[in-house]
Amino acid sequence: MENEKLLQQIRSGHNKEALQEMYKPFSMISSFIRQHGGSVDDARDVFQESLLIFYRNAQKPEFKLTASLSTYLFSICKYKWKDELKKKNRHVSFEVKESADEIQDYQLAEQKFKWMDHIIQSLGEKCREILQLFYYQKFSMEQIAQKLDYKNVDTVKTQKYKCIERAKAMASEPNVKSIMEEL
Amino acid sequence: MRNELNQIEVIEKYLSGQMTPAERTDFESKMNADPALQHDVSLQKDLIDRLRFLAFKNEMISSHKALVNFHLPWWKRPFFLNSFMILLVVGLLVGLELTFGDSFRPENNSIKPTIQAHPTSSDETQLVIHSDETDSIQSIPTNSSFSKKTKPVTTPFKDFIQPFETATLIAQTGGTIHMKNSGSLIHFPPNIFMDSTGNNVRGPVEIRYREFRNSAEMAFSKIPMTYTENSVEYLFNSAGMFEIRAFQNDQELHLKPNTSFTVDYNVTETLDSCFFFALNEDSGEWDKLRKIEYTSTQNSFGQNGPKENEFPLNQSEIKIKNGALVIVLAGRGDIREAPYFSLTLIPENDSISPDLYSYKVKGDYRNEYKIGDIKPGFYRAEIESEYYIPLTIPGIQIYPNKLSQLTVSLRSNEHKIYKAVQRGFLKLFNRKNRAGGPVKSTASTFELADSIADLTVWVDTISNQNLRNPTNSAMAFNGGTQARQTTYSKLVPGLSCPSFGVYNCDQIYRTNAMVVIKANYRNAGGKLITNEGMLTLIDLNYNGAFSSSPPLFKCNPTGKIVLLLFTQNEELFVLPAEKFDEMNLDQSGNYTFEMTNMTNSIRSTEDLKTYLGL
Repeated sequence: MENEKLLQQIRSGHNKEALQEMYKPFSMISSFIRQHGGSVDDARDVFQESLLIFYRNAQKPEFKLTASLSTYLFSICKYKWKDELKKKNRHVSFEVKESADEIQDYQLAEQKFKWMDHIIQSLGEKCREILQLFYYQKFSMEQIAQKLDYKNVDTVKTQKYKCIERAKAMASEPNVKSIMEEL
Repeated sequence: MRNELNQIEVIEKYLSGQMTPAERTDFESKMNADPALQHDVSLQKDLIDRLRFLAFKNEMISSHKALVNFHLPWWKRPFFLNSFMILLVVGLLVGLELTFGDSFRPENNSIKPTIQAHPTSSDETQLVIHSDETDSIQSIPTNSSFSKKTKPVTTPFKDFIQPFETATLIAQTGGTIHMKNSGSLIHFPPNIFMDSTGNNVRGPVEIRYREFRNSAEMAFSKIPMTYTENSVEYLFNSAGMFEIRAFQNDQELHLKPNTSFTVDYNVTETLDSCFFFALNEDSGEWDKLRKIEYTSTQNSFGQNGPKENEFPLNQSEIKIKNGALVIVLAGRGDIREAPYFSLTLIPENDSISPDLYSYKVKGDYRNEYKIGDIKPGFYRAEIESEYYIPLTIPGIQIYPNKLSQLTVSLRSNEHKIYKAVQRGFLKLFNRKNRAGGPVKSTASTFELADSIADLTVWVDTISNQNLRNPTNSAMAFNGGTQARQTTYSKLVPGLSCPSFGVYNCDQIYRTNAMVVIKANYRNAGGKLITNEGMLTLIDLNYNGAFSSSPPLFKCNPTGKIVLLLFTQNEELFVLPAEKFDEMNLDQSGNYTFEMTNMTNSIRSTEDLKTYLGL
């Protein structure tokens, strides 16, 4: 699949198709990691983290994939795996050139925003469902009203905004951020 | 929409690029001039981005295996491999049968045994083979545990789930349902039901109703207990909550447009500024319907309140097995005043219309009265008089073929008094003794005699003064606990319900001292509890229970807080109020709670009620 088409799928909420495409290089990457001292689980964890890095970047309108997806993900995975091996004081027998910046950006972003996870979790199932359908799966209000059996579109819209209001109110509580950051 | 929600909508429009260039310029200039707005926009963007990120992460993790298999060559895919193995095994079996099958069958096939299962006294079932020719029985006990008992299907914490009471009425006639446990009444006009496609419903309709009257009953309900008005969040102090649904053939029914039913609800207490709320099941928010007003006629002492030295007589439920309830309100001939009484039998059978089959008799205490031709059914009796407090005796069963008439008589089994009062003048209320002190009677129980002719009501303890002085016309019967002055709390009539669902009678309150708690939970051994399911927070100063996600919750640190942690493997951990108080949680922060495993001692709502002292 062309890079532009993949990015378009991610940004328009066609996540299932995008994920299928993103998983194409898994087999190759998994083999690489297993050949260099890792397990099946290590391969899975490293690969998934590379996808998260890619997904986060893909949300930025200015992001462009200059190489193929396989190359992009492979370079991130190699860098991550090298890092893991170093932490375990194990020998690294391969070279890695790029990706340091991307991984660092991702780690900084995680540090900055991970505290929000509990707030989103505490919204409750109903709120999370509406927000995910709208913001992640890009459902229209009409589709959400039908799927969740709401009486009309206005009710869903109001409910969606109330959920965001609750999240913002929780996030604005004094000391909440520092509490959440102690994870 | 409220201003706050409008602001969220505007920010969303900005972030999603839906503003016109002019709108965008204008909004950005407002942001530049207002750091709070800048922060608001940034926060909203970050929250939505994080939500999207988490959703992707969850989908990726949950779909990992399928995504990996999707890209495997077809000969490596699990489905193919599994199918291949099954075919291989089947092929081998068929091959063996074709090649060697005959050599395993017995030569003599003339007797075809039948196999029957015979239950035995144990749970094991024996397989018994009957031979047609010899008619002999060869008993072959089963080796495996072929047990008739099946493991019951349970839902987690099912004994904490409030059960529904059910009643049936006819859709085209409507009717009134009396909830025995609480005393609430539900009035349905005729022809108000429709099905999910809007068609009129006729015939029997099943009403399912349940109440949540205290924190223990609310603990597992997951019904929200907060209310937002003008962007301010309030907490509920409940005077009772109820849920009501209607079904026909297990299909849920609705009310026709512009119809309603009414509930006379027995609130748990008469709270000031109490309102009636309905839960909007689409939004999960409460709608305030009306203020609840209390009227003096609901006072069980009568319209003018209790007279001096009077307090109500409580009767426990009376049931008749073989006979009838006989109540004699007979006065002595020399009594000059003979206040009238009125006895009404009100049917409690759902299929008997109360308007058609209530029986009433009026008279005075000097005579004995009979009510004839009573339709068989279950009734409650109400006795009223000018002077005396209404006495309600629930649970009179009229049996068919036994009675065509009801003789009303009430007697005491205290023999000394029995004869004296048999023709005595009975006042059906408690009365203080001559010295002015309270009657020393305690809780009484009533038993029914089996005779058809009459019923004797036993009173366990009666004021000593009155016992020794049978001529004292102020005979006191205390049918209940002295400390409890009414059987029910206030009955609030006419609460109009425009739909089926959940309703609440509440006082709302707000505390400025709420703190945010990031919580970890440990058991008594210090081990971290990781399989948290649901957290319920109860403030014993109020009547309510708040459900929350365990890792993060808000609470009033000055409250009398009990934490209930329900885990995913059906354990219940509790932090009692005293321990919460000891922690001095006066500010938001990260806290670890040492919880006590109460799984074995709190197994139901009743256990929880006892534990909480409700």
